[in-house]
Amino acid sequence: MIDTQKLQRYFEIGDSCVKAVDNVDLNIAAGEFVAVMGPSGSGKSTLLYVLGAMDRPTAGSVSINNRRLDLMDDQQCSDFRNRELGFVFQSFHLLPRMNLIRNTELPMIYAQAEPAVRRARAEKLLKAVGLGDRMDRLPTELSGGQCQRAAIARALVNGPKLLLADEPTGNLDSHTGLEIIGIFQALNRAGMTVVMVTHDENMAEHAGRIIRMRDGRVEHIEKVAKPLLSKLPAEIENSLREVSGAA
Amino acid sequence: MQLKEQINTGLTGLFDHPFRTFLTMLGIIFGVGAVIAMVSIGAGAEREALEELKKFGDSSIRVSSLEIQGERLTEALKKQTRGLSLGDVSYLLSSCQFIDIAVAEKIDEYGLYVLNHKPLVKIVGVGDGFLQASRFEVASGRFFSAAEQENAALVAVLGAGVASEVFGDVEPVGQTIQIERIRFKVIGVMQPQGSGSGKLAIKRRDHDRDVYLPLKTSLQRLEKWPVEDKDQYHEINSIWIEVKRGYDLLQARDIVRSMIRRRHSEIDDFEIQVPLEILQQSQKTQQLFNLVMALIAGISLLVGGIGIMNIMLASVNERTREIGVRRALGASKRDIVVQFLVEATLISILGGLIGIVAGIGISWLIAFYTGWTTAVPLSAVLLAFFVSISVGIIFGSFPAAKASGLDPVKALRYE
Repeated sequence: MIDTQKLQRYFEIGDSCVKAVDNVDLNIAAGEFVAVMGPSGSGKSTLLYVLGAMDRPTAGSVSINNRRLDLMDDQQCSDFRNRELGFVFQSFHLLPRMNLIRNTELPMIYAQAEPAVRRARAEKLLKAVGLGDRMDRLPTELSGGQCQRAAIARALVNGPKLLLADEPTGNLDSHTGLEIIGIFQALNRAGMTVVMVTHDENMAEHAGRIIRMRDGRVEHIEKVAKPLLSKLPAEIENSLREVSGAA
Repeated sequence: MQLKEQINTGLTGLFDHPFRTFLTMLGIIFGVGAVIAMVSIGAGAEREALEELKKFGDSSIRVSSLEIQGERLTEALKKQTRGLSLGDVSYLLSSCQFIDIAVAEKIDEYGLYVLNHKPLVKIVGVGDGFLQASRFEVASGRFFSAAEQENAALVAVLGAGVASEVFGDVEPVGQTIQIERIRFKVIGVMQPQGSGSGKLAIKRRDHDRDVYLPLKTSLQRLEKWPVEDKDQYHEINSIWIEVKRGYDLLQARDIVRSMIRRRHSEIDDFEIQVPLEILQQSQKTQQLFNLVMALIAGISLLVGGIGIMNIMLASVNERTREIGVRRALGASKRDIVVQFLVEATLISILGGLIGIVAGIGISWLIAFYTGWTTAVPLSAVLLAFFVSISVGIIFGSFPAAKASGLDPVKALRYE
């Protein structure tokens, strides 16, 4: 699914060079749930943005589903972000003047989907993450957990096979954070590949593998023998499987 | 992203910030409003000039008496000239092949008495061919016959204003009026002529307050009445000349001038007006005025455009994180460029439409308060509209390019 070879992302700051990602070789198989951990400045978020075609590597290669992201132009990167993966951010990044339906529809607008199709799909996803009764609300009217669930619905709306999450529980209390992790686990069980950056050891223990980074390099990769399980109500689990399957 | 979606997104963006949108539009509203209002004044003047030309004709020359005093009068009397006279009319008719009609006009301020009214009017004696030379028309009744001219008949034709003031709803034709102590029968009423706005340089008195008599009647029957300001020098006040088709009007004017000057012993006691020439000069002045106004309007649109650019740049800054989110969700650079260009264009379209309405309103107000003729040509409306769209596109391009050039990751992290 994901393959990087000697991946580098360096930043020139004045006279010095910051090696945010330094010769990273990674291999993540389809259907894995991987957590990327490390201290601040270790390069985990930069790695995620490079994997998400948001940032370009300085050197090395990065392939997702055998497609070389480092060789794509801006338009191809945009199409890739739009159709092949979903992004979930720490601070949700919902557009504040749009209600949840419009926020969720947004990636489908760039995918040129018909309005009726968009609407139906966005409603289905919002219902699947338990926001069926909040669809017309603005993000400012919702709790952090509800906003993050809406952001997940938005990330899934174009039916990607890969979900990238940058500190998705960082702004949430532990209980709400576990709910979000539960959604990721449910999606992963439905076949979705999930790569989650986190600094929370407890959250990382819900993944199948943990990649530990330091100073831009992969320090250690460990398999979680028995991942923790965050149970969701069966109804939501089924809905998520359905929308993920529909994707 | 389809254009329809871009327009929807743009409209949503605009209506999300209505006050900012309105402020951004102000420059365009003023610019387009100024263009429309200025063009309406120019077009109104043009229309007025054409109407004047229709009234005066493009082949007419007017010779008018000039009052002379002091040494020039003494010199003129010494040289035994008699000012503008019937002799001049006969001389011109017999000497100039290019003259089709030459009609003498004598204007006096005799007292007119009708029932209890004593309206202020001009008593105008006119020769044969006056209707043809003046292009005036009779509204009811008729004008003088050749026999009435020849016999100095006691008949009168009233200007429209005099007729309505004196007779009101009563039909004036067939009524009797009294000028000084002589009674005249009204045989006709003229069509209203209007007094002209005075914006053009063609001198024209209020013909609606004229009472017309046959020239001979005016000269022979009323001559004996003493009038305070009666011109003792000129026999007649003006000559209406129509030049035959195919002759050069300005050459004809020069010949007429030199012939009358020779008859008047080189005394400049008359002036010659060629309405066509005056109108052409007036149009040239108007063109210059239009050019200056277009320049001013252009500058206002430029300022409007800079306003759009400024506020769009501020908007890009304010919405940096939104741009990052859209890029993360799959918007290409092109999508972002189009989004901001569509917003700038929608602002200028809305501003342009409001500006057109404002411009038409200003044009009406100018016409209402100044009495000027204004006209809003469709071409000016379309031009102003397309210029405002172009301003939006041109001045929206830089902010749009700036927005699309933002690094998606930096934009997402922008605080």
